[in-house]
Amino acid sequence: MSLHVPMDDKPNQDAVSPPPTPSKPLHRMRLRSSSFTLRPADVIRRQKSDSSFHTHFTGSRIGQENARRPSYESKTMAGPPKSRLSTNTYQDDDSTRLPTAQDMIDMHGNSSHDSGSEDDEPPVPVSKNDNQPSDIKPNGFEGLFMRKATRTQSQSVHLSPMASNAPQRSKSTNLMKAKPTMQVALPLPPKPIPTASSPTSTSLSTKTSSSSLSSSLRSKLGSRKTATSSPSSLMPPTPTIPRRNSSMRLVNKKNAQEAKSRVSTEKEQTELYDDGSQAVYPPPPPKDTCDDERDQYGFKMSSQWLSVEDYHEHDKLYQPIVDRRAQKWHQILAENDGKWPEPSSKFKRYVRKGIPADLRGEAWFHYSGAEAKYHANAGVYQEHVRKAEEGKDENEFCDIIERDLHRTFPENSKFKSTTDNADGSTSMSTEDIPAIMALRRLLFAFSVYCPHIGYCQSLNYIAGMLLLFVEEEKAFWLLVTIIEDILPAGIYDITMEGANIDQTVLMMFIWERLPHIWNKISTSRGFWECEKDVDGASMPTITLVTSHWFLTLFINILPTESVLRVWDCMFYEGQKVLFRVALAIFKLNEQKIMDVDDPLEVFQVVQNMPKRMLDCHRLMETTFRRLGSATDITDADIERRRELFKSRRKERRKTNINTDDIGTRRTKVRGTIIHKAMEARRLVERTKSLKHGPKGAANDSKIAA
Amino acid sequence: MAARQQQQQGTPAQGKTYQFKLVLLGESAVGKSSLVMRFVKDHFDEYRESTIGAAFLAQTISLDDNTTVKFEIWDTAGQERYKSLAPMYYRNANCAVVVYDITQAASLEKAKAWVNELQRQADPNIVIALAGNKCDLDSRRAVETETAQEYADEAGLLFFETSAKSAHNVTQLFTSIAKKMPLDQLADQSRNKTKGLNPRGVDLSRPANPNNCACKKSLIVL
Repeated sequence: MSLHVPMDDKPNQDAVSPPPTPSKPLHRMRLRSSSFTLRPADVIRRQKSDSSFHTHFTGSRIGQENARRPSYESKTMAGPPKSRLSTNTYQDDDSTRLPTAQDMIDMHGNSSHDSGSEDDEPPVPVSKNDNQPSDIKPNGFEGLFMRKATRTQSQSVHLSPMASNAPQRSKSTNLMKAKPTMQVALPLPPKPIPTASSPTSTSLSTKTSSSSLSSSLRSKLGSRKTATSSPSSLMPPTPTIPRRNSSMRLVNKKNAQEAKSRVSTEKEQTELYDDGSQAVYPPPPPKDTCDDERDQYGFKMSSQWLSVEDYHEHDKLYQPIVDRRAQKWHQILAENDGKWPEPSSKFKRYVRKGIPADLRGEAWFHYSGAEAKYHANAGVYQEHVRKAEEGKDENEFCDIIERDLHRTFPENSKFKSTTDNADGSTSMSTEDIPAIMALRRLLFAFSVYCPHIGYCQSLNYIAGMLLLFVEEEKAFWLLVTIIEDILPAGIYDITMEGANIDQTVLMMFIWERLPHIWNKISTSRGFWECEKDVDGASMPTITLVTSHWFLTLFINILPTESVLRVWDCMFYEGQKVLFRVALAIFKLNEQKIMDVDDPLEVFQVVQNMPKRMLDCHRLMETTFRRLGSATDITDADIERRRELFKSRRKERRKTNINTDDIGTRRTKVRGTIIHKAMEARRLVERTKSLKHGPKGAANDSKIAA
Repeated sequence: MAARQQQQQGTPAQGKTYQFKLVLLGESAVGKSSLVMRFVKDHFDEYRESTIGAAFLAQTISLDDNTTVKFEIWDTAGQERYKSLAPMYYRNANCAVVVYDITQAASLEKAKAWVNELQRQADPNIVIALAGNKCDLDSRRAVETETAQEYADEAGLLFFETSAKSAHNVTQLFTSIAKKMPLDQLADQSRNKTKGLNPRGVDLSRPANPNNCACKKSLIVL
């Protein structure tokens, strides 16, 4: 059974569906493929050696973690949760909110879903994997080793994209180890604001700051306080450094008069980043893993939309959070003996707050269900690489893929195929770039593996991004999983019907939930008026932009870190995340959209704004805000609409073929007639001009030119 | 965003501004986006990320002291299957640049198919230009200038060999499109136009009299 199970756990989940079980026990976490293998023992050893950092690595701490969180069960049962902390988890009944969709569906004779249980419906693809456990089970230690042996022959095909990162990892481990000394050496680099290092006790700062914070945050702080105050003899001594966020808040309050606007943004941001704990520890390591120009994934930071400074500014706040999340993740893995935890609402929260970069690839691989495919299909990838190589000349897609290889992240250090020479010129090296070669093999193999898709532009970006996180074969299976399981059918097909339908679904959500934005983008036409066209040509023009969002899964739309955060959730929760993020982008840019009148400006705002949305935490928070929020969408909400539009389009096509294509046909005929008439006329004129001699001919060519 | 600060349509003091919707079509990797980048931002990247969906940019050029033309440029994805989105691009387009790569013979065939489609489906008044891009790569040329010129003449298209890399003929391409637009006809329409733009570009309602069409007009001069 795949792990791709809807993660919106309900309190009564057990009654509705059995709790998800992992496809196989992960005896060994395979981090970073061949380059680095972390065994449970390693994790524990590391935990022990770094015990001062892993302050929460105890059973009692887990209890606190749970206690600290508001009791979801009771809260949800009793009524809507008040705290924003619990905005994540549950889906409410949306049938009351969406009468139109429901009406339409009823009209079309589709059985309406019981919205109460809709969230427990497995997404369509799940069943595809149902037959897999039997294959997978033997793959314990022995299975892995056996597999390794069988794989060696094809090793030459493998690329270890992260091989270069392996030293980085050990470096960062060393950094972690070196941190005790850094504890003393405050202030923390880099200083968030000039006075942030002023020593304040935790409790003082917590108290002071909480008074100036929003109620939701206050509730978090409150729970944090109980957590910190409860005695835990088992806990290694918690470093009592001045808490960075809290001291910042304190300072913010102090300097409120002199930097009002700044304070408000910082407060806003600290609020966004707060996830229930005030501790920001360990301090951010010096960023030696990436140069000033590029982020840790090799992407150039500065763009038309964002400067390097913007990134650094953002990093000051974000990096501590990332570090702390990483710590929490390693802790939860250690608690679980180095195995991936079973999906749970708690773990979903972890995922929504971002998977640490070093675990990302493997977490995607595991929770998406790609791992199961990978283990069930040993050698299949290599076979398809071979097939693709052999049938290269007949494969129409190879040429198109070839043209896109160098246009996939041309600015990324791993994919860059141009080198700047000393004399200022640039030269292209094309064949010897490992990432590009891997991308070629992967896309070729995919075009053979999935002949009904072959290759669609934008798959290059997805595959390219995957290659930055997992090794080639895993990237292949992740791509397959995205397309076969996570996304609905037909997105990348020749007709791209699935993509068009999803655009209609998205537009409907906007129409229903963000009507004022709908009015802007549709120039005040009704939704059904826009929808009625056969080929979807009367959909708001904005779908030209939003189709890109879904096709590349936000690559080249959002800044890299935001894309990765979206992917974290997508691999864990499924495709609905894309819709929720799309709505969140609209929601967050609401004001900017409302501020412009010219529809073309609206278009540009929607086209360009996401590129500036560096604040991934804020984006994710908006995405998963619940309680009547515009972004609260369930799989069933999407599926219902998808089915509706599918049938409507089908029906329209049928009637169009039979009868009333007249309008379109008339236009076509008219166009053709006019065109033919023009051609004829032109011919006559040409002949005439030739007759009239060179003067006429010269005249003619002048006009043609 | 660069060109969006331009004056809106028809400021009486400084002559007239006409606004046209222009679409770029052609096979993938022929240099559509690069042409636009050169035209709009005067910038060239050896490798541009392939366009997915569509990108929108605007650029204004002045034809003379009294006439300014603003192009809303819709840069499109090249791959065949993205064609399902195409009607949305060229709906109400006033002009189109169909691009091929002079080093790829097949790309001219694709360009011809696009021209055909435009002439059949788009506004009959549409002004179409054929651009043979990458003419800086003359050593790898696979399409002779004459071949393309002949076709362009036959089909009544403007024709230029361009290079986004060297900027050769790029501005000329767009300027001559602007010049070929039936500005006189539009003058009346622009005047009647209310402020704010038509969402889908300037909607040139089809002339009742086919003699008004742009291509015709140039022929009538003969």
